[in-house]
Amino acid sequence: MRKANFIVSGVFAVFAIVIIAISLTFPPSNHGVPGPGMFPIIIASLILVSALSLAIKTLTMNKEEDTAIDLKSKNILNVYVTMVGMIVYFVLLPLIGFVVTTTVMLILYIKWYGKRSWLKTILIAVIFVLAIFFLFGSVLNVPMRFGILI
Amino acid sequence: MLVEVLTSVFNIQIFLFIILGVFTGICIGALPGLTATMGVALVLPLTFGLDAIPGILLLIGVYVGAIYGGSISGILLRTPGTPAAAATAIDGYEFSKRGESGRAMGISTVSSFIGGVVSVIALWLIAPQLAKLALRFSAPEFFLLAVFGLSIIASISGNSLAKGVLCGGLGISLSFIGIDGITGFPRFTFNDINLLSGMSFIPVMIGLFAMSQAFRTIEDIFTPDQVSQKISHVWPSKSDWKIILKFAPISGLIGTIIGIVPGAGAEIGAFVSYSQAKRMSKRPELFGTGIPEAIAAPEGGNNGVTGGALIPMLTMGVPGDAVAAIMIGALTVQGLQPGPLLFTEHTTLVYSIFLGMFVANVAMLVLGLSSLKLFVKVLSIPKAILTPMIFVLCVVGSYAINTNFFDVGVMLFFGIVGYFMQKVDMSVSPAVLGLILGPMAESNFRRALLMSEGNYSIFFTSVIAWIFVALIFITLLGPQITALFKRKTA
Amino acid sequence: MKKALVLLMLLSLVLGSAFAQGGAEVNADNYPSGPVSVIVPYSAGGGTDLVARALVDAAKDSFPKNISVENRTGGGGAVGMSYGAHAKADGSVISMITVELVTLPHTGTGAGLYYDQFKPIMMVNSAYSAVTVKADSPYNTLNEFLDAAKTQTMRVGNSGVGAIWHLAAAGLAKAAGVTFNHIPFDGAAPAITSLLGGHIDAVTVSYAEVASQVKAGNLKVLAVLAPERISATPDIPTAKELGYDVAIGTWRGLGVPKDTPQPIADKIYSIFSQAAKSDSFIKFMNSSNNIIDVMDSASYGKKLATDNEMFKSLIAELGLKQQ
Repeated sequence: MRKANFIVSGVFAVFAIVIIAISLTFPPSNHGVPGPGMFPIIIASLILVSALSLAIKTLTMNKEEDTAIDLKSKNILNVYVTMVGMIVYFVLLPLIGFVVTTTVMLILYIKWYGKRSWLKTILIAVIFVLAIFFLFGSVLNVPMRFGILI
Repeated sequence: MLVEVLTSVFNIQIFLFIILGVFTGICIGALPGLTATMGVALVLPLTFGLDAIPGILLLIGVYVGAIYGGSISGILLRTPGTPAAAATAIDGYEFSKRGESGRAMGISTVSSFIGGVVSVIALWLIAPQLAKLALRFSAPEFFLLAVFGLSIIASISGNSLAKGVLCGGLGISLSFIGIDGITGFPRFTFNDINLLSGMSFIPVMIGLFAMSQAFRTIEDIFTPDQVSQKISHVWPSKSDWKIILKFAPISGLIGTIIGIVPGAGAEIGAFVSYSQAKRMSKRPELFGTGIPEAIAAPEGGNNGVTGGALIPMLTMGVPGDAVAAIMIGALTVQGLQPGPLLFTEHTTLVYSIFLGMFVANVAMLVLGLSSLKLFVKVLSIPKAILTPMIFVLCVVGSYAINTNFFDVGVMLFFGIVGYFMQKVDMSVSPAVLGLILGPMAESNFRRALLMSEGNYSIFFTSVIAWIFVALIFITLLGPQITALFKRKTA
Repeated sequence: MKKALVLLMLLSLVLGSAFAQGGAEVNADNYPSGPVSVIVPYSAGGGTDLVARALVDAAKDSFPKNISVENRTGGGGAVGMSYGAHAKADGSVISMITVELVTLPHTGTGAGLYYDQFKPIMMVNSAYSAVTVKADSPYNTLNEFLDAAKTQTMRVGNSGVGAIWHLAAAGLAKAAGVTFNHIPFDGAAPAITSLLGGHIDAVTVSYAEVASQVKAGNLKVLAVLAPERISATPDIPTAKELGYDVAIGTWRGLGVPKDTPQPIADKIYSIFSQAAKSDSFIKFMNSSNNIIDVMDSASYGKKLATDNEMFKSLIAELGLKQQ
């Protein structure tokens, strides 16, 4: 947890400094009415203070209180692979179309996680995707047709 | 008007929508990883094609059902279906270990119903009065109300206040993106047209709550699913009834009050009711070993929040919690602006919501007592199939709101961010609180100064403002003061 | 699995090119030869959306291959209108264009949008600003109100900074030679609520938005900033009659990309001007407090140009131009 806390505090500190830097370029206050930069600067300062206090607290933390965070075990790697899969899906979705992309995505995930037979996997995926497609596309009039396929 | 309200709620179509909503809600709530907020967000697009009354009652049904449904998996699996059922899970699971899960669920069902009904009555009594008072609210009062809500972050951030503030700050920072409402200046838009209109908060919320939770499920996707047990003896015994009637109504009232406070949601309602019951009980040492009052109190409390959260939402257009924030969106889509005018211009709608919410609680009671076995079945859907389907629902849900793929990207981004935040022990709730209340605080602060032409005394000119100032101090410094007293007396 | 993927990609290529060829030559006689979509740059259920849906519903018999409404929101309308302006110029995409088309470019938040990217088809409806005060306000006429504004600061609420009702108040102030303290709210309803609570002195939103409170006796309208009196409220004078030459309001209409062939644009006009006369559309517009104000392509085009010039100078004077 110690390492993670330092990373959190570092990331947020950088985030806060970027906000402050950008906000300083905003128009100034006008006749006592705060300009668009005031709140971002206040909130970013609050973030900065909290980030520092988290770092100091972690430094003075007892070693015994420390708990390990699992970021590298096999289970976690599965999460990363899933995330990458979702990003690829997100990129392909508008290009190819909802039904095809989503069916393929579902088949791959369900097959990977569940080790069911191909037939059963494909059946589940196709039925679910078509149900969603018609519910949103036809019943709710959400435009679901995009991409070069459907 | 009474006739109009009765005919608008008491017809088959509306009943079906309410029952459908409650049923969906219970299923969503029962499934670990699907929260009430997510359920309402995912059902929201379905209401676009409906009229205002069935649409909003469908959402309320989902809300009421999901808050209750969370207890089912809490009791059976010790995994609360929603954060609001975390307190219930502690004792509920002890019942299951003794083979009494049916009894625990019966207590939970009846207590949820009582808590819900208490909150509906409170809503019906308080809201119209508050709506009249709401006209006295101007920018300074709204600003202080938002700050009061934000100060809740201090009490929900658990072990680390610093992390809570970081999360809340992140949420507020997200709200800066887009055109500034007071000067029209585009902030943090990086000349991107999608950022110009700001972050829509529903995709952010679906990402932080639902998608990140789905990613978490992947961690143990290959471990076999838990097998559920048989449910029997659901109807509470005489002695259980006594305890329920002693604890649930008070918890419902506590929940309602917590629901009114902007930012404090059902999970806080449940925990406050739980600790209040512990203080009230003659046998506090037995809490945690599976006693009826330890279920009755949090379940009454979390369903009490449902009606409470609607009070500031309907009367002032101020979201009491994340779900109420989505409902504001649902009403706005129907061309209805929540606020005091709603009570004078759409009286029938307002009272139909009250009555419909009561019907939703009855539907929850009936469904809970009659079809628990069915809801337990829902829990046996293998997560290997369910989780990918949740992915699809998250994607479609965030796309459907604005039909914009940018929102899907936002959802995915915050799904990943939310996953790592949970990894480093940061709760995502403060971020949502910040995202909802941050812009309310900022715009009203600056609007107030615009009205007063830069004179800060405008924040201290009304009684309401002073009440909020006092409340903010109590929330922020209360724990420290009580700690100080304890040290002195000890 | 790999084979399946390759097959899929090939299939998509073939189908994709087939679709690309599908859009054959269009001429006005067989318009609409395919499905048509109407872009609404605001969210479903809002005022613009409802008008668009009612109009499309009244015209749907003229579109045998289907016509659908698509909401593309964002950027205060800029996202949807940009999309519509850059769509295929064959009449298959028609856009609801609103007054924001001639205001957003000048505030610097139009993201490259400009009114001449559209060929205007027709104006559908209009709504003008109504200067509204509380019923117990000491001011009973616009003159009294504006005279008082010379000596004290009037807090005038609007529906958002740079939004049309902000510009309306600014235009009035300019015509009367006074300055208001403009208070922006998130939409018209919070501004009206604030006025009812007595926290501000006036609002300049449309008459439809204050109508119910006026009828209930809580608010009163001093004048409308319209070229002539509104038929629904013949007793309320216009600012023009009272000597302030200002008429500012919002309007909605239809537009197509500027390269659309004229015969197709004419055909679209004939279909929708017919639809605007239908009973169902008139009934909807009356019940929703909207005022039908149909204008043909030529005069609508002229209005776009004059409004564009007016807002350009007004926004510059207000100092609302960003970046």
